[in-house]
Amino acid sequence: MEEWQINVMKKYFLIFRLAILDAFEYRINLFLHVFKYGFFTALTAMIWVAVAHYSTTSPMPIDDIVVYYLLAAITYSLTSFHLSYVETDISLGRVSIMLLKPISAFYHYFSFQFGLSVLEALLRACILFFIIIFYFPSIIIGFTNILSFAMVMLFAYTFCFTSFYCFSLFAFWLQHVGSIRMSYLFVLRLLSGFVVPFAFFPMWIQNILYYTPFPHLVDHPIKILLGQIPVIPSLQILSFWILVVYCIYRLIWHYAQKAYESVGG
Amino acid sequence: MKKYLHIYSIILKTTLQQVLQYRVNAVIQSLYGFVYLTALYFAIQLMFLNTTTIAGWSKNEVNLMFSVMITMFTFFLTITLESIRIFMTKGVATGDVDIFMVKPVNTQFLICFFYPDISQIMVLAGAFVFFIQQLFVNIHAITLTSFLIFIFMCFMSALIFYFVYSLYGASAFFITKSNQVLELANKLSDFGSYPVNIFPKTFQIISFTILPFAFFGYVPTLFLLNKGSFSLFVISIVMVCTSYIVNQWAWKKGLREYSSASS
Repeated sequence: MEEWQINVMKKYFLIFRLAILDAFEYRINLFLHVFKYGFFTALTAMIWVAVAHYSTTSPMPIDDIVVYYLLAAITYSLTSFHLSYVETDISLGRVSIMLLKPISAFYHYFSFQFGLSVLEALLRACILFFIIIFYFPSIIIGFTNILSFAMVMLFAYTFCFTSFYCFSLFAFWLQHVGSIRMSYLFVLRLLSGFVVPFAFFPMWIQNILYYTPFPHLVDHPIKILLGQIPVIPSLQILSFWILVVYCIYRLIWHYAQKAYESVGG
Repeated sequence: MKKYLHIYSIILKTTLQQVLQYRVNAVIQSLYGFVYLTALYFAIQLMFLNTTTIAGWSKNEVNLMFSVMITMFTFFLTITLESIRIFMTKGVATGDVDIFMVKPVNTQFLICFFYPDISQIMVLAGAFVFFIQQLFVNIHAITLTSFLIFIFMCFMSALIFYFVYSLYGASAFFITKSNQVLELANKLSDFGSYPVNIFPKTFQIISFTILPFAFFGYVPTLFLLNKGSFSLFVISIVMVCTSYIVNQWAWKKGLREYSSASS
């Protein structure tokens, strides 16, 4: 790696660190954020446990549903986040700074959000892994599985960030883009297997969704961590979709720069 | 009361004028509501793919509960939730509350009702039509008496909803970044569309007290389907009184502690 590349990496690593420091500045906010999704995940899990309990032909046993949601809480941090601050920066003209300085707005926000998501994921992982070890001792997660899981989650994060960012860029033209981004986010939560475990979808929907990025964001990473499926197919599908959304991002950014104008000092 | 209704009609009128000024924005803003509710409805349908009843509730009954919850929630989203959210995210931090405090009107009323989200009116209309449709689907289980009790219970639930959500709003006086409190309540209100008896006891207690999402869909639907009990009726009234007392205490304390620098 050349020196200029290391300098660029350092710059974005600093933003990553600042995001973590920023999160710790408001600790009650951080705690409530982690608790909010923890509680939400627990209640969602309970609904599907009840469904499995009353079903005659449940596609998932109750214990599997519990483990699924414990691990889904970790994947959730890296795939389900809000980029409302990007929209605010665009509408208030703060993005001008990034257009003038040798810094890419995309990588700036990418590093910042990555810092927040990784912190949240680690906080949850610390708690949830202990729960899994104590309550589900039969589950053994190997080091290779953890590495594969980390790799697929990095790809999943990149896909999610780029696609959310594309929606946020519409703030160059519209006022309330948050609503469009949130609509997409909820569809993503549903189809990725968070709101409804992927196994509960009818088989024909599962077959169609396999070629979309959605099941590779929550359901498949969990199976990879548990060593039930190989990592390569998920990486291939996610790579393809990252390429697609990145091209869309470049196209939107190209027109957005032309549409952007800032007034005042 | 007349004075407050008059003020609120003026607020609604001016907000409607603003919304009509940016029509495309209003349509885009209501998009999320439609997508969100459709997705939740889809999830409920998937729940009943492998079973006909869950904890004694059939698919039609859960659909009815879902329609009650979304109608109630969207109604509150339209009239007050956006105001509370704005207050929590920037009201105290930017000193916007000052302008409400110097007016000869109840400060809590102005804070909680100043920014109605009129753009949600289309979602509210859709939710209401869905409720009427579900009412006809379940008509065999509904009597005139149960419907009247249901209306009363909806009123009770509305009071609980307002007192509890504005109580969360009051946390902005004490916590710098408090919007997560409302986010938590918002997120959990979705669970009002599921039968509460599927959750463990601890969560059931929480759903009737600290985060009372059981009152938004579950409790009114129980009475509508003639499944309600006298003890639940009493619990609802006790909850209205308790939430009102705590709400008033928190707001008075919060407003006393509030201080603003410069102008």
